[in-house]
Amino acid sequence: MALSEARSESQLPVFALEHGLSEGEFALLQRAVRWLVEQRSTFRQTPLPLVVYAADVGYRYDGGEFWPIFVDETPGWIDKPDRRTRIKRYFMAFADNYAGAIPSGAWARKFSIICWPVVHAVLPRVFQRQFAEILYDNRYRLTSSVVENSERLGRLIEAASWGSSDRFRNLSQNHVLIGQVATALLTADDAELAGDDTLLQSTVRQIVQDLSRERVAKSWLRAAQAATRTSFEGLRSPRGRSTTGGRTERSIDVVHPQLRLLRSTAGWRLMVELQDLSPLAERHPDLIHDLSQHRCRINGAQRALVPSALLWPGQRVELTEPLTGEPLLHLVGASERTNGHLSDYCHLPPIPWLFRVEDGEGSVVLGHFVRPASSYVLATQDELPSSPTMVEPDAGSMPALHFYRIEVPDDVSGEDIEALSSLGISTQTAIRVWPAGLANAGWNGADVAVWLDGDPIAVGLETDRTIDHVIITIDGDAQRMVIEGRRAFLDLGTLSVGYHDVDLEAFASGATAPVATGSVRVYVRPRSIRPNSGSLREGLVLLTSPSTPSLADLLGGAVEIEVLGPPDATVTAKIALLSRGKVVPLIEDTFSGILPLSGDGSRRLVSRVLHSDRVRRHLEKCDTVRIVFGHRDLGAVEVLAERLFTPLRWIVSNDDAHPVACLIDNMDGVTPEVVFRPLGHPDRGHRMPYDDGTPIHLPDSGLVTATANNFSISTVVTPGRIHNLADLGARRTTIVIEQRDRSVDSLRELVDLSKLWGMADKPDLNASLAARRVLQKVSIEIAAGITGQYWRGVEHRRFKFGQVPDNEMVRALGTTRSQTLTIEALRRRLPTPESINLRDLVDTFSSIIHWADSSPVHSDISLGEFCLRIASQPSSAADLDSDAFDCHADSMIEHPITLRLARYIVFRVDDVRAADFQTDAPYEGFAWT
Amino acid sequence: MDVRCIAPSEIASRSLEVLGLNPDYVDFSFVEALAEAARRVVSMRGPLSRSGAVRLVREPLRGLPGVDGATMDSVPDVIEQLVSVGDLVEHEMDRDGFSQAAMLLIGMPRYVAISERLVVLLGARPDGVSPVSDELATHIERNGCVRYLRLPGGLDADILAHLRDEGVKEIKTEHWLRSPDSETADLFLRRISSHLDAAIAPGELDGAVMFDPSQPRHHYRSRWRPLRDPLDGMLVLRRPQAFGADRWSVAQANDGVVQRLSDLPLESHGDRACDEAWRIMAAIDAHSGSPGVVGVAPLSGTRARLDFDAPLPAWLQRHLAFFGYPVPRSNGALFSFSVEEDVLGHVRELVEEKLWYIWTEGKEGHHG
Repeated sequence: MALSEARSESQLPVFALEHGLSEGEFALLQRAVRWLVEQRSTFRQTPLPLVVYAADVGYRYDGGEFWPIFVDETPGWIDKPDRRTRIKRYFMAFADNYAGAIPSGAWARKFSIICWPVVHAVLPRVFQRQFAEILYDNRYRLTSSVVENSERLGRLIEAASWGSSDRFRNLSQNHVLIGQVATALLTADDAELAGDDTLLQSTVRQIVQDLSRERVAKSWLRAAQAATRTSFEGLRSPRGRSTTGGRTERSIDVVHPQLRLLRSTAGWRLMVELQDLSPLAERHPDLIHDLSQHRCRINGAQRALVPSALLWPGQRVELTEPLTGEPLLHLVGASERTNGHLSDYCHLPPIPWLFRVEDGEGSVVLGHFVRPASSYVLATQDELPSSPTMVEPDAGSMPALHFYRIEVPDDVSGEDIEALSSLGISTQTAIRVWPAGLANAGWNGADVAVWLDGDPIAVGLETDRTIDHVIITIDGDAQRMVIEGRRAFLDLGTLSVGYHDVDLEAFASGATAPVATGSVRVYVRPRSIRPNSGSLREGLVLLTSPSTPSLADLLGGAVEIEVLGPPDATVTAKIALLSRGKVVPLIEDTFSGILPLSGDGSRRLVSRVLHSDRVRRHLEKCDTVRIVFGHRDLGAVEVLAERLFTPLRWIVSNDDAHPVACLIDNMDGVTPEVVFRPLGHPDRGHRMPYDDGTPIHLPDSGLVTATANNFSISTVVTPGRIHNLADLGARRTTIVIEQRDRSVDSLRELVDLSKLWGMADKPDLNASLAARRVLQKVSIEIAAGITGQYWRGVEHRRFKFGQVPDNEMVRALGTTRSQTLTIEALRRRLPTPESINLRDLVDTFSSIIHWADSSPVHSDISLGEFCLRIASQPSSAADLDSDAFDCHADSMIEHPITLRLARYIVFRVDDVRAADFQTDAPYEGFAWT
Repeated sequence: MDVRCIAPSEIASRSLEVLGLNPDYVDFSFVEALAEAARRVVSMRGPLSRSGAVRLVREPLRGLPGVDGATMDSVPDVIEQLVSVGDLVEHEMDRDGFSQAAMLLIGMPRYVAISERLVVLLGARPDGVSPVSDELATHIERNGCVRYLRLPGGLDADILAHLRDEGVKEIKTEHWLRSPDSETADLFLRRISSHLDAAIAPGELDGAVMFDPSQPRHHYRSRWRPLRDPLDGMLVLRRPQAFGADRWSVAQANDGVVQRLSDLPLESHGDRACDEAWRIMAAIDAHSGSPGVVGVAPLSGTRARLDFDAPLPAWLQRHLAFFGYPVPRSNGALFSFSVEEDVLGHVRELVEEKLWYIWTEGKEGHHG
């Protein structure tokens, strides 16, 4: 009670872990709670000990399932929904009575009971290392104003956790609390800094002590604490601190891409170098999710970027198409709000562009000025009617832009100045400004400079005549400086993250008008944080899409992994299956590849390993798959794919040749509904009786689904051992799916069915093979229902015999003249299956069937892409906007040849690539993201 | 707003501190400072051409104390040494869809273990962030372009464990120090010649320069001359590229005309083109009776100075960094290193058997 009273004025809540008990006292409390549990006590009169006890279990929580640990440590505990709910009620009462912490965020909504003991554990041990690492990586951003504002600090941590584990991201959603914990840890070594708004010292000591068991985590925390102290320099009053003495308030303003010009044999090429957009997440938390999930179209670029690409700094994209009036960046399928933010924060300067060129590269000069003895390129939309002698037309690759080379002579005459002026270009000879001391992170040689947050910001200034003083204006704020001579260095002081306009006016003695003026656009940006997968500035880098893949993504072949490095160099990849709490991997396998490894190449290699029987049988116990690509000289990069923490999870086994499924229930007080769908009738559900924690004996192979509170989890179960599709066939399980009418609704039902089986866990190879067979059967039913009788025969023959001769398929595609022309066009333009690129394929196919696409609705995908998705992996169309789905489905049903052609493409590709790839997808070569 | 005039010396001091150096002992004329500046440039702006990196290192140093023409001239050598040891890596990258150019990137953080308490530290992190934590960074020692991490006595864990904890990857010593097989210069040249037999006739060789072994050794740069009236036999050429560094080639000339030409490297042992070129040049010198010379001079204590009069392939630079450190070059030498006397035998074996140099003890190298 004393603690809650002490905090009555504070925003910091009380945590149950702040019990302040000594080790001995706490041991007594544990004994008492366990005894009371065995005595069937409800704790109604004295819930506090149970709350403290549960919070301690939460502190030792390992990130897996909470309740098994609780049950294991608490003999006599009857793990029923009502008992769990009771614990939640006691925590809620604690929050009411003692101003206790209240969980929030999406994770807390999903795990409405266990979120309480976990949150009241302040910072469970399992998260301490990641927490310290994030504080360390972001130490330059720990300014006084951030550390003092728990919500801002929490948002910073949440934004920085996008590359962390799924479990840590869950924790960081509670950003106010996590910010408060961070403040307490950052100021733990300085009582004056910490002030009154801090956690109980014994609790902080416990966390710091546990965290310090790992040397590197201790070192990270110390460095972050040191950075915090620095930022508070001069601000020793714990209350009412101002920001004048320390580093100033920072905010991310804009993250404009840089426009670059590259000289090539074909002329000048325009590249956009994109910035890392992850800092924007501090202000717009949803942005990270959208950046991770959606492809990005770039105005003027042919290709879209894969999801997550904008979370990497240094991506260069070539502009080869005329620019439209649309925003520069557009996340396909993301909300208008998100795209609105991108439009606000990321845009190019207006055309015409003047580039200063050196060493075959050019950077935009914002101020449209040139200097003597320098080279420039002017890019304009309109052709220049006539040009001065120093301006020569030049070749460039961007349509609708005209390029002119400008060689400014050493001695610029008045005539030259006038000629340049007619082009809107001024000539600067009287003053030169440059970043001084430290190499600059983005100096364009003229008027744009980029400093890293925390670095000293200094410029050199040189004039062509002796001056007396300068007036420097930063963002409208002016200051007069006495200067002696023609050269001076200026310290610009501390500038916040973002853009600043710096203007300089140089005055000669006694003059009232400046003798020279200059401007520099200064951008102060945060330091990039290097992930374990390397960065685009390094010699070996691994790019994944999605950026933090899950284990299910990896097994489903839905993860793009690109490894870039010296061409033709050999890298060794080591795949390890890891189990929580164990250092030694369950199993490891190694393979090698030649750089660069494309998304396809790496997926092929990874899928081979993961789908081998030797590895697959360990997947059940595996929590994380780690893939490390190493080069003997360059080092190694890695990606982790974790099993997501879900409210429900199936564990399957066999009993007398029948599958047995056991449900791990973290559902917090709701009894799940269990439905079984047999393999023979994968669309028919049978409700199964379920008693908490009791294994369910299932009659045969099939799909078992548990549902509660709008959350579902499914797993495919099979009895005995099946080695391949032939074995599965030998079991003579005939798969029958109820025939449906030819309608959009029927199509949607089958797409949903495909999603249900496709998203289900496949704990072993048998399950994977069974699910694949079902998914193929669903695809066949879709095609059979829409494409007509001739093609239906092709579908059934292929399902039965594996392959159908090409000429037979072509005959069934269509025989009318217009159909024949379309088929010929397709066969002519279809790339070879070995070198297929999905985006190119979509473009080609869409252009071939453009006559069928009468879609008036706005859709982020074309009819061609829709047909290919339905034909190859129907589940990939399940989450489309319903208007777009209905419209494309109508067109496809109206023109069944579109689906026949798409199926033909899918078969052609699968026939070749199934030999190389082994994923859980129904057909190989179509990894839709 | 707190803008103020600042002395150049203060800018230099603050910049050196950010680079992790003590301004009381070094200024920007020191190789150590230039090496840190170059690492930082590439870590912020890579991928970069060499010429771009040189420009970006030089630009902010203008007007700072200690920075003169010689300092600016030494920047390309510093970058070359950083590439040799592996702090920076240079890849042929697809620049524009048409041409490839050698571009500089940072090597990722890694180390080569000398002992449990001493490692060679390689690489950097983006944006000039130290490859190791702030705590370990306090133990970094610099010698020329090479950084060592030496853990002082008294700390309980070995340094390798610390580095592994921080995710810094180990490069096996045998990989980092691998060198070509020992063989005679004649045998090596015959093998190169057999590669050339299969080569094709070159196209235009505009702007190419050739290595002229007939020129005296004492001034390395003067041994390069435009490709006019080439001597018959094997030639080493450098050809300018539209972007990036020159391309190194080996050619066969007969009757004053280049008949066949092949780009280097010819043998894929991981050597760079220039490393292989320098070895071919050393073989040509040895074959023609004027081999390279290593001067060995005693230093105080148990150390000796090695003076080299030709560029050193990366594998030799790594050995010298591993067993010693660079020292200010003696008069006429291109590179000088200090090593312990007990490793002289090892270095001698390397340079005599793989570069066919003459080992000259008791005096500085033969520099004219």
